[in-house]
Amino acid sequence: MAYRRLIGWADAEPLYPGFLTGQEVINFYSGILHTEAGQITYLLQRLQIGAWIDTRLAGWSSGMTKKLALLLAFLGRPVWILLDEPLITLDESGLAGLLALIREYRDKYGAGFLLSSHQPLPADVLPDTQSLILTNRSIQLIS
Amino acid sequence: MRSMDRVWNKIMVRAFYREQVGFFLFVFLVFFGVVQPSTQLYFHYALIRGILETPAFMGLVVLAWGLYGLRVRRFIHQTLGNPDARFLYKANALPPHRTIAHCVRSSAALLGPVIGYAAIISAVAVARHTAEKAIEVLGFVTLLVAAIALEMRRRLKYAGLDVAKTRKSGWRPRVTYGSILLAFLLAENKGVTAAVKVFSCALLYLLLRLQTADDYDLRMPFLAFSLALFGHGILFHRCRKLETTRLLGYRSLPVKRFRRGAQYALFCFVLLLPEIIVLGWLTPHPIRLVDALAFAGLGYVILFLLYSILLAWTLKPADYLKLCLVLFGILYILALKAWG
Repeated sequence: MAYRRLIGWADAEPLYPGFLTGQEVINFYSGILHTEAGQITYLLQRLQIGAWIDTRLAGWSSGMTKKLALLLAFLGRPVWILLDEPLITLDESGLAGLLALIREYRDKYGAGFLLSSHQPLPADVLPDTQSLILTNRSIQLIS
Repeated sequence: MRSMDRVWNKIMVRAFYREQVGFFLFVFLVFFGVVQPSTQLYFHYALIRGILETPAFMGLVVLAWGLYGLRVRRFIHQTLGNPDARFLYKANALPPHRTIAHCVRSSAALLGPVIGYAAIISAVAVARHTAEKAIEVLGFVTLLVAAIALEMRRRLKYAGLDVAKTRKSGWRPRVTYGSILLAFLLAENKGVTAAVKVFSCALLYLLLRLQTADDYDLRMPFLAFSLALFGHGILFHRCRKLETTRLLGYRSLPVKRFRRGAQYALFCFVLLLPEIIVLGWLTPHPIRLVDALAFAGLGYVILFLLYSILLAWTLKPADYLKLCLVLFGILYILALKAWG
C-alpha cells in the first residue's frame, strides 16, 4: 500500500459524483491519505477554488473540476505526480497556481512530475523541463 | 416555428409518455380492470359523484394530481439537465411570450390525463347543478398547468438551477466509500431504490403475516423474498457503473483489500436494514427467531454475492440479469430441499 501514497495523479477529463460537494470529495481523499493540517486550505488558495468548495460538483464547470482533480493529485506527500493534459480547461490564474505548485513541490519536497500534454509547457517558468516527443504525443519530464 | 414545435413535442412530451408507459398501464388497469365492462360507465359515474360529494375523497384526488405534477416536474428537470437536450435552451432566444407559449403548451400536453379527467368531473358537476365544484376543479388544474409551465420556463432561463446548492451546516459527517454509494442511491436513484425496498419489505411482511402455528411453511415467503433481493441487482449494477466512471480515483488510493471488502459488506448490511427491521418486528410471532435469523443471514449473503459478482467481472445489464436468474434458480432448488 505504501507506494500508492507516493503517487498522485490527475486524469485529462476528470469525473466525480455530481451529488457530492467539492469539500466532501476532498475530505474523502484526505481521510485516506491522512493529509497534514492546513494543506487543503493552502491548495484551495493556490488553485483558487475555495469559493465553490461547498457546492455540488454537478454545477461545476470543466475548469473547476480540473482544478479539483489537480488538488487531489497534490494531496498528501506524493513523490511522483502524474498529470494528464494538465493545461486544458484551466484559466490563467489556475495555470499560474498549478505552475507555482509544480515548482514548489519539486524544490521543497523533491517531487518528480510526469506530464503528458499536447501543449508546450512555458519554458520560462519551468526551465529544466525535459521533453520526449512520441509521434503525436509529448511526454515532458521535470527534474 | 413548426419544426421547433415538433422537436419540442418530441423531447418534452412524447418522451414523457414513452417513459411513463408502465405507470399509465398500471393506472389504466386499476381504473378499468377491476370492474366488468358492462358496469364501467356506472362505476366511473359513481366514482365522480363520490369525488364531488365527499371533500376527503376530493382531497385524495387533488393529492394524486399534485403527485402526478411532481412526476412531470422531475421529468422536466431530468430532460433539461440532460446534455442531449441542451440545444433546447436556444428557445431563450425567442421573444418571451413565445417561449412562455411553448411552456404552457408542453405543460398542458404533459398534464393531459389530469386535464381530461378534470374536464369529465367538471361536466358531471355542471350537469348536477354544482358549477362551483366545476370551477374549483378547473381552477386547480389551471394552477397546476401554470405552475409546471413556470417551472419549465424557469429551468430554461436559468440552466443548472438548484444544482449548485451550498451546504450551510457547520457539521460535516465523515465521508466514507459506503456513504458515497448510499448517497448515490438516494440522490440519483430515489425512485428505483424506493420501489425495490418497498416491494421487498411489503412482500416479506405480507407473506410472513400469513404464517400460523398450524400452517408454518416458509418456502414460498423465502423464494418471494429472495426474488425481491435479486431485484437489488439493478441498484448494484448502477453503483458499479458509478465506481467505474466517476469514482475511478478510489482504485489507486492506499486502501487495504480487507478494508475495501469491509466497506462493501457494510454497504450491503445498511441496504438490508429495512428488511431486518421487518423481520425483527415479526419475531417471534408469526416467524420464529431461528428462521428470522436464517432469512436475514441468507438475504445478506445474496446481496453480498450479487455485488461481489460485479466486482469480479464487468457485465452488461442483460448478462447480469441472466446470471441473477441462474442464481435464483439454484436458490429455488436449495430452498425447496432445505425447508421441504
